[in-house]
Amino acid sequence: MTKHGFLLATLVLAGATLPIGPVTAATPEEEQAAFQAYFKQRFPNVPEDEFKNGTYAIDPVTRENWEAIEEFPPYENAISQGETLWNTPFADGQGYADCFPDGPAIMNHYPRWDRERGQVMTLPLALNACRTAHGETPLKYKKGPIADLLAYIAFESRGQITQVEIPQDDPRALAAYEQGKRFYFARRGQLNFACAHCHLATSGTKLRTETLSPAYGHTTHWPVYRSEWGEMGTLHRRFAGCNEQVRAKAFEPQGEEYRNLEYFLTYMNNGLELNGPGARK
Amino acid sequence: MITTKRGYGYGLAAGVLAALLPLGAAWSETPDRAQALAGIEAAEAARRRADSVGGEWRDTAAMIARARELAEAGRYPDAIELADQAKRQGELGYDQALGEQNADFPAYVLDRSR
Amino acid sequence: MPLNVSHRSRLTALLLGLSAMSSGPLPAAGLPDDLALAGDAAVGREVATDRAKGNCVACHVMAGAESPGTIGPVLVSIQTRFPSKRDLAAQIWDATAKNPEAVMPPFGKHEILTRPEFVDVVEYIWSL
Repeated sequence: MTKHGFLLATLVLAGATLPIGPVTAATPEEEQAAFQAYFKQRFPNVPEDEFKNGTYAIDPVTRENWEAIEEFPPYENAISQGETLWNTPFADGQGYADCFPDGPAIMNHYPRWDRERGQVMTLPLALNACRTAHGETPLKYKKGPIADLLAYIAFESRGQITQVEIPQDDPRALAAYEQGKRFYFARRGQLNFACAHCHLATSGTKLRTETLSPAYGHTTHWPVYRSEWGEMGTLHRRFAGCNEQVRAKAFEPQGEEYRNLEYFLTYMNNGLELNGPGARK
Repeated sequence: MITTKRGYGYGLAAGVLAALLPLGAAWSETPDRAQALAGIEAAEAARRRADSVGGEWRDTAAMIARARELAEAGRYPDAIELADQAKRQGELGYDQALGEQNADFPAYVLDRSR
Repeated sequence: MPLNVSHRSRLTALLLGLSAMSSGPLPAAGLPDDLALAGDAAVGREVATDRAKGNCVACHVMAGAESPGTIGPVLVSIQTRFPSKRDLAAQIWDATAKNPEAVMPPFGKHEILTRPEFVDVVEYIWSL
């Protein structure tokens, strides 16, 4: 080893043994491992591949209703409408398949860090970018045709594994992850709740008659036919609804806050199988 | 005459009113309406401030809109009360957002002190 | 037009209000010392079970309340768990003052309840 190498090694060893104050740097990998370990320890009787079913993994009574609903799924129309949308050419003769040659099974390609745009790219954003590039008007992000298109893509993507990456060579990606993380744990609204307050330690307990679902499993099954909506809706629609339920002003669907939140939350769910579209109460 | 007791009152009021002249539009309203408008503007400023840090609450804008309606209807005390309530929401939301800037995993999931 | 007393006092209020418009930090938002805790427990029960107001039953089992949640502790034997009504009131005002990780919303500090509603709820919960 060179003289400089010895010096460096000594400094590194010294640094490793010196107490350096509060440790703030756990890596995303460590954070994800702690997150998933927490839920496996909290719900030891739930098989790992059941978490993607949300409350139905932990609440046997509502699971029965849900299984009955899944025999004639309320999202079936959305899937077939979505398939039609996917296969209908734009005015310029091209189609979604031209933007997404791997499609339609592209659900686990998103969310991802987009170096060129310097932001998180989500599937709905990518679909609208395709539309815009071909002279079509962009779709709205909470419900309607976007949800149908996503339902078809989700259905075709069933079985894929969640695999969000945070590229190590672009610090902006880590910054986006950190922002999403802060959002998740920050109290907000007049009711002073963070996402974490309902979906971590209190998951599995009841809010009035509703069982709070664990965060582990939250991102696998979108878009969702939610009985409360009486229709399909997207993940960002639910983010907005949750924010309003704690009496916070909702943020823009596909705006920076919810993109980064989706990035963080989906990364936490890495390894889980995709099973959208879903049906929920 | 300014030297009577009542006159002092009028003189004081006149002097105070004159000091308020730079306030522009509010000057021409009756005090109650001016107070309501000032309260509404203060509430709106607080709401914008909370919004600037992502801390605005759900109902604040609607409360301010309602306060404006009440002021338009001449219900100044109600408008002022509602506007003040909205202002406090804006202040509380701002403080809340600032206090949560370093929000993090709870220790029961990830203990960073180790 | 002649300025009478009420106009003068409103003018003063306007001046004070204008000077307060330059916003500084909120005064310490703990339970106000001068808040008289002499509410109406029967009204408090209504507020506690009202979904749009206290909605206590969302998280707490309470005698006589339907479909309670299980997030918070059962509300029973309250007087053995809080040394005084004022201690209970402080908890409902802002539970995070004692425990920063507390889940319960700050019903007083965030004005989720009006002052009269808050005082009535305290009276009701104190009776459980």
